[in-house]
Amino acid sequence: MEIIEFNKVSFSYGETNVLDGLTFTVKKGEFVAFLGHNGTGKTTALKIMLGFLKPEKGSLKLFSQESFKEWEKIGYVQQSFENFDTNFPANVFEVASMGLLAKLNPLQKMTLEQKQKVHDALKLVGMEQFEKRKIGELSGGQQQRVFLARALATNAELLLLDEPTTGVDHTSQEKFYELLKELNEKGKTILLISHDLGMILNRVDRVLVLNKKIVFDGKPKEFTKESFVEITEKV
Amino acid sequence: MVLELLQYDFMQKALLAGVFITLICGILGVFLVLKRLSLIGDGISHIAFGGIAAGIFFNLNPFFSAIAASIASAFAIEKLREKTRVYSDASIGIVFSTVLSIGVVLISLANGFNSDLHSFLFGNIISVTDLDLVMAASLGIIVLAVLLFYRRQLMYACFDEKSAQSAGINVSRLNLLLILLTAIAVSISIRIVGVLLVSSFLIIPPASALQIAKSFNKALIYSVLFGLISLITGLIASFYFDIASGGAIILSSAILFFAAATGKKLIK
Repeated sequence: MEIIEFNKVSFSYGETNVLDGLTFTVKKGEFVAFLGHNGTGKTTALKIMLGFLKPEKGSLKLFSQESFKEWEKIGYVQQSFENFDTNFPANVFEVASMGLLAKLNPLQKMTLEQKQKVHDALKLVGMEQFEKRKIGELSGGQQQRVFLARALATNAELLLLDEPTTGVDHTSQEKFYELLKELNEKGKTILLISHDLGMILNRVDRVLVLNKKIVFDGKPKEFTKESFVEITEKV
Repeated sequence: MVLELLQYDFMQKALLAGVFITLICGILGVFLVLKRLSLIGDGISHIAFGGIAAGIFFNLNPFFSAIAASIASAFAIEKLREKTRVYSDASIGIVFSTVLSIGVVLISLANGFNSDLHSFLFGNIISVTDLDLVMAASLGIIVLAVLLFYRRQLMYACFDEKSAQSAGINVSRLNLLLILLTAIAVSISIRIVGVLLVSSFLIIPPASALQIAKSFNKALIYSVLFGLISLITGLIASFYFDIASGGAIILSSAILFFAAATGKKLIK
């Protein structure tokens, strides 16, 4: 089953064309690295998937639907929070519950089952012992794990990750990518934007390189850092 | 001491009005401070003052003209920011100076200042009327109910706007709602604490709460508690030392803020 279907999608910011007939699909259960230099349209494509931007031409289907509304099926983890307010008064449990709470009727209380879902998601990312800790007191890597738990608590089937480990130390990056691999093995479909080629190429199933459109689509073993430079320079 | 104060009818009303304002501003203020919109209360209070001047000039109820001016300006600020890509703080500045200047022109046309206008500028919590109380209570309950209804979505949007949007939350509608609620809260509070002090009710207790709260619900509770303590100590000081009630409340609030900030540093 196709989870993401881009069909000849084009998008421009004013005169600058960012996506030009972008076409690709991602199947259920795939772990895809979405690569490309800065300004090649990766984040714009992600914003179109998240509904922040609308394609000027072409179409996008998510979970085989053109007018997709079931946002709980998508978990989004953005770049390691450049705007993150470390003084924000929320503990780890509250942050991990945010996605789930946003779906509830404002007068509805969280059920025990829903609370358990948040506990389970935090356990899965190895953050269950920090539930009462203020989010700003955690390290960058730990915070990203909590944001991942927030996506998992809503039972997201597709995880869209935009450079989630920028600014995170090397050991935490390793742990984070290992966790993504485990989640993928449990059935989550993952599309990951990252520049950490060394860490992700041995974990993903497929590599997509973008430069306004897909310029490489293949297995990680067919792809090397050298070919990345070659492919993008050729374009 | 408090019981002695409560023997007086004007003090009972002052305390009741203060409790309403503290509740509304304490909760609303947490969202505003976290959204970096602290000074919008200041901007809207100046706008409301322009509305009050227009109300007095055209013989309308100044309370309603203040609310009308504040709400219309809240929309104008949001539209100006959206359509002309003016930064939020600049759009607040443009709208509030324009409306305030209309008020100043109307005051000058009416040959100066009148005592009604003076009371709105500085407020007087101990001269609250029954009508002020009824209006503050009814509008205050609406503001609180809307805030509590949307608190989860507001919390998510304050914490991480992009992710909230990706979860299907209409963040721009929530921002507009927050500004509208601020407009109503300021219009309610202005008659009681005055244009010059209203924004401090929206900023200082929430800022104090954010110094020590480790969870969101605690931040809301602490903010209201800090507001209530400032209100009671301010009123007592005002009564016994014969000083301006609004000023005494805000000073108490500022002292609590410094105590919370210092306490936090000492604990660290």
